[in-house]
Amino acid sequence: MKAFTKKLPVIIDLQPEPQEVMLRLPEWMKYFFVLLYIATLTGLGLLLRESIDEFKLYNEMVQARRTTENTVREINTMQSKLVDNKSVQRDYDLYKMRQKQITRPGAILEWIPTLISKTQRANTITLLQLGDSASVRVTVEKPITEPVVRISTAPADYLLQSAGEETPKYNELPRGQKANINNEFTAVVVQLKKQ
Amino acid sequence: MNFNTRAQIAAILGILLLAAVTVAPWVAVSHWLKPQEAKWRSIITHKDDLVRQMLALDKEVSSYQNIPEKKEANITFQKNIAATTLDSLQGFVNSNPKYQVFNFKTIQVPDSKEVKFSLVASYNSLGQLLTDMWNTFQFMEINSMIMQPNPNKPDEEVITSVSIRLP
Repeated sequence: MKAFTKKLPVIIDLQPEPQEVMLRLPEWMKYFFVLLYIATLTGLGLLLRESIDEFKLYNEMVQARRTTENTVREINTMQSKLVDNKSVQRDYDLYKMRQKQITRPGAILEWIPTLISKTQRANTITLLQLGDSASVRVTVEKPITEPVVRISTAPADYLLQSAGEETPKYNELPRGQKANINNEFTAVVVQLKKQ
Repeated sequence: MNFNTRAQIAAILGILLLAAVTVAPWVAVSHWLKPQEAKWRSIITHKDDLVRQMLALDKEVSSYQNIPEKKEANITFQKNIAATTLDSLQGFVNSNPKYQVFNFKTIQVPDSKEVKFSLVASYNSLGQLLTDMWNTFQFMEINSMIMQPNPNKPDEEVITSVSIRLP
């Protein structure tokens, strides 16, 4: 009798387990990897810091763009306002200067009565204004014995340049009137200059 | 070169590749973002310059004081100049009953702005008239004034001849 023997299938391991470790790294490489790891982390840290700075700068730039737009608008407005202000100021100064240059004889007219004493009588008052100088001529009827008033003061804002006595002109004398026998006519002439 | 050595080299290269991938953004920052940074900084500097310019302008604008009032004053001055005419002068003297003015005559020198006028008025009226006239017509230049007592009423009235220049 033939003994029955069952044949078990033969399993052929196509990729057998390696008998020894394939990759054997040297001992020093452990330190190399650690160093590389530290370097990578440091690099990441630096990158992060750099990125934060860049982001801040970017934000600042975006804000600067907005501010620039507003500022340019503001500058344009201000420049037009400045031009307007300058023009208003210039016109105002011109008007004021012109107003100042136009002299009013009010101060002189108020001052003229001080040239005439109580015993005298003014007849013709002539006031000529030319630029900043003024000429005043007053025909006075006064007692023969009395001298003309000595002029020492000028009206406000004026300088006394000269003062004197002259013979009155014919048209400065009162028409149809004769002076009292004890009186005479004389003309007081004063030159003034505006300060 | 045996199998082990090749494997070691491959591992080192792999690690170096990974390190390069990690460092790549940093390199990108240095090489791409830095030129951008220069551009951004120039934008910020430009903004700072503009702000400085604006502040200087603001200071200059603020240095002009009372501009609205001056503007109004200028308009008043312009109106005053425009209103200073022979007609308005005549109207001012003739239409105002508070001045007792008689024989008011005006003569305008042809082709000139010079105007002469003469009037007879009481002493008090004359002073008031002249003051009001000078205050009303501020740009009227007075060239000459001659005053004489009225021969008919020497104690009451005065004959005045005034030569003026209209603006």
